[in-house]
Amino acid sequence: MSGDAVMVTPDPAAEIQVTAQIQQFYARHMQAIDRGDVDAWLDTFTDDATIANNTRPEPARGRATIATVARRLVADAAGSGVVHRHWTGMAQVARQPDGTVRATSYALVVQTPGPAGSAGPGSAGSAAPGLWRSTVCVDVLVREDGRWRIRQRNVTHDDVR
Amino acid sequence: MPAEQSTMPRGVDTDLYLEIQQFYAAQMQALDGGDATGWAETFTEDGVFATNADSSATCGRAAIAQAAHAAAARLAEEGLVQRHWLGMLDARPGPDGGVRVRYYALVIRTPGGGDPVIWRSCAGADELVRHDGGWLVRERRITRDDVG
Repeated sequence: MSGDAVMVTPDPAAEIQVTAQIQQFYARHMQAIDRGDVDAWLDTFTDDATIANNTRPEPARGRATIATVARRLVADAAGSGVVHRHWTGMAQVARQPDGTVRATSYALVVQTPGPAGSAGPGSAGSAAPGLWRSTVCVDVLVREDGRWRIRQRNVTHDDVR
Repeated sequence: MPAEQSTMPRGVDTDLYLEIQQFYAAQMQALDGGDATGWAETFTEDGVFATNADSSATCGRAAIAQAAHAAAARLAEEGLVQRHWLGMLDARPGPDGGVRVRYYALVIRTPGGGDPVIWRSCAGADELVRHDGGWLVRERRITRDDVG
């Protein structure tokens, strides 16, 4: 079966199967960026993917632009010694008539100061993880080469008004 | 062949488990998004919402919607965004084709320009019933960990 032709079926069991696939997709996607594997993370987007959020008016367009931003963010995090873990949850997965999937999920970013931020024994508090961001993430995912990829992402940061 | 020594009740099957996860995702997103009417419609007409912080339960869709409206207005006034995270679902077949679910819930609050905090930690117990191919809450009992 070729990757670009996905038949939409009303079969509820098949719909649930997609839900499980999308949950696994996010686990792989988020773990890639958190361990700094930008290439693996980029491979979870289509070539023409866009990422928009409520802090910047203009979305990043295309994998190349997304790559530049991602490498900078990973380098910034590494430089400051913090470790980020993205937790995706509460995902609502809706198959669209055109075979794409619209997934609306929450994402929390847990930030840990890391070894550079801890001041040695007796100061465990300084190394304690904390919640850094709470967001809502709306993705449009497409099936390509037998796997899901993000074509369009829209992130709303809860701290931004 | 039943394992006679096992006293652990069976959970629901995998498909149903995922379906129930989806129900909660939709329900919490409705509540957190300020859709009080949509939230209330995830309860049966005579649905009950009870917590250990309030001696009287909220009964019926209209009252549940009204309470959600009031809560959303308070949050807006305080400039807070709230997100409910449910997890650790223990879903078991209930009477009449329904499902009983026990779960944990965290409520995350984010102020404008500030860091998110865990505002509440709770345990929940729901009685879900089938309706139009989906699910509705007939009864919800929330135990807030900060209330004695």
